[in-house]
Amino acid sequence: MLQKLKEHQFLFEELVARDFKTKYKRTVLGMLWSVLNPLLTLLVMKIVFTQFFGQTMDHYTTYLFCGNLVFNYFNEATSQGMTALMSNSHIFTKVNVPKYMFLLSKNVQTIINFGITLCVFFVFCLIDHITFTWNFLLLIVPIVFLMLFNVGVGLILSALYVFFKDVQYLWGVFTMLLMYLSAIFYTTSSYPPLIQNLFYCNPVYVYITYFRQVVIDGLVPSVGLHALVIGYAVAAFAIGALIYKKKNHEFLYYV
Amino acid sequence: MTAMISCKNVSIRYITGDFKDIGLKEYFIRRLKHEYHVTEFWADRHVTFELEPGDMLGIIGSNGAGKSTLLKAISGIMVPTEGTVQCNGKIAALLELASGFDGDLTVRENTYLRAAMLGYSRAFVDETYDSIIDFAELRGFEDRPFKQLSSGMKSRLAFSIASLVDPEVLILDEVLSVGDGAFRKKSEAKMREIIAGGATTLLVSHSTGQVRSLCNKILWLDHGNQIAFGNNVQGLCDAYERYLNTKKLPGKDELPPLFIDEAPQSSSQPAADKAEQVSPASEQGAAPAGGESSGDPAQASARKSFIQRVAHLPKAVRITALAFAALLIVIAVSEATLPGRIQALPLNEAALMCVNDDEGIQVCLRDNKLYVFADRACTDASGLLFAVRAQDSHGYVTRETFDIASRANGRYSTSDAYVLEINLARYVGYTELQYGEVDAASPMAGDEFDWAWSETYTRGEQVTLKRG
Repeated sequence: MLQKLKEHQFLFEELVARDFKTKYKRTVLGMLWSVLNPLLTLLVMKIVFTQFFGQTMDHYTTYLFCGNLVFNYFNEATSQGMTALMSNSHIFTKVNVPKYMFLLSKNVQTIINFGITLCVFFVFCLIDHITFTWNFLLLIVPIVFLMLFNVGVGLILSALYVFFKDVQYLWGVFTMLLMYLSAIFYTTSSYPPLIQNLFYCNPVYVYITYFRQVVIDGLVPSVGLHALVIGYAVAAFAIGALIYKKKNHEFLYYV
Repeated sequence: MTAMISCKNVSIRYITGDFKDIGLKEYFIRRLKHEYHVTEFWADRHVTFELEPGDMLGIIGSNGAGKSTLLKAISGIMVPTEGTVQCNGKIAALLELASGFDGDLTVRENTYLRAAMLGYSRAFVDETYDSIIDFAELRGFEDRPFKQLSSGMKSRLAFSIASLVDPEVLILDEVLSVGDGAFRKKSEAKMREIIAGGATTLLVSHSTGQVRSLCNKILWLDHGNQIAFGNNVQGLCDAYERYLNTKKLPGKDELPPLFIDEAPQSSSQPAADKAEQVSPASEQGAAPAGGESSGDPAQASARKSFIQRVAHLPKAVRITALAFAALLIVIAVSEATLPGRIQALPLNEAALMCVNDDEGIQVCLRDNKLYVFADRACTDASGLLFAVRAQDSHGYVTRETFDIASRANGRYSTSDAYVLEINLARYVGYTELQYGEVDAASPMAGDEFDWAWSETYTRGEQVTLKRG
């Protein structure tokens, strides 16, 4: 697998370059949108939930930003990843290239966006008087596994999308549901313990919680949370990889 | 001589009318009504032929005969539904040339992208970029968006990129008919050069003239069926032309002899040597197409047991896995053993910390947060300033005060109480926590709080911690 990747490194670089160039083509602000977009979302949410819903919590901006950071990355990576295979069908029906390349190159793009947003996030933490501790190094865990998780979900979705175009509409609704279930702008502490635990069924919530525990609460998350963070990512990736392996030669018939 | 390409009984089936055509809803409805049928369509049926190094095969047949599908199977893009395709060399496939470019990218960017798809290296493209552009006669257009080019220009670029390789197997789908007359001549010359280099070539063409002049073997397909395969190129081309005029397929006995004795081509011998030199390299995975469709040993090795696979994982993967395991253990151990620090308290039930009946105040601990419930009747009159003082093992002290009546701190209020929520997370690492009420008018006495009343909490000292 690694050897194969190396063999196709040039193709991979070119695909990433292509995705990048086509994405920011004809936008005035170009890459700056990667910074502006999450900030504007954050601003809207902050205004709505503090002014209209009277949410007054310590570090609420950071709390919101944690949620937005993770959820937006997840949303962008999966919904863009979904069409990665289909939109490159004109290539893989003509040339024999590994099909997961298209998804990975799309993911590189969203990872870069995520990285930029992450830097902005840390700046906001500073402004919000968050104390930086060595614990912050732990953030590498949810970041790495969130990437893996997103690639996994992307693999599953892009494969499904080839077979059923309906997936894109379903996924749109589903991500909205997921957003409301991810406790991005509210806290779960007012729910009974059983309901609170049910939130952990939502992978996005798990990654957000990890971020919040480290950044806002200054904690080292529990072993159980680590297990969830790793488990969801590995499971999603394994399923996605299996589908690609099984269906590798069938995609062709459905494009 | 070993066969370069061998197709044995290759059949390729397309399915129409299943859920990809009718959508998921219709699929389920028809399933429920037992009206769900798929239509099979065989693009190729029982195609069998073998090519030796240096052969040039012309594939003829009317539209929809299954020529392009067959080429896709040989280039490894498709896997035959039945039969096997075996190919022992590096393939360069030129299928439907002008497609697969990105209209928004410039000519230069597209050149690199296409070259990457064909499996060239960056260094190679850097080196040959100029000759590609020169051959395609696109100097001066390099930074134009690709969609502004004429279709002839697009095909010329595609041909130039693809023909640069030195492949062992070359697959050409209608590519010799691109561009204007001058370019066609140039591309045919280039083609002959590649063939003379010893490549095995498969050529799809509607021009029997081209097949006659270039090919030494011929495959005739009609609606997926193999009508004929042989080296009697002239005879079979004649028969094909007769069929085009009469629209009547020749019977088995009407075909000219398929194989005629021919003087062996001079180029085929060196080509065979070359093929033998390269074949070990292709077995090591240099040619994915050949490896995938043929590799019996590769398949057997893929079915190793899990443990064997883990043992054979790349070193980097194993080290990463180990590092993560170690990290987890460190976290688990440190969490369990670190003494005397105020940590996340794993209490699902709120723990009652203290009650001050005189002031009508209760303090509870839950989820690492301190909740102060203050009776409205008592606090409305006098107000309440709640204070927290934390001290770590070096004697470092942090102080905070919370005015329970102020909206900023009184997060919740019920009909009979104010509730104050104090996040203790910021006190992680401190060893002693003191909380209580101070006088609102003069909270401090010198450097310290002037407590009206207070409780002290240290982890490990369970006396003050009563479960409610």
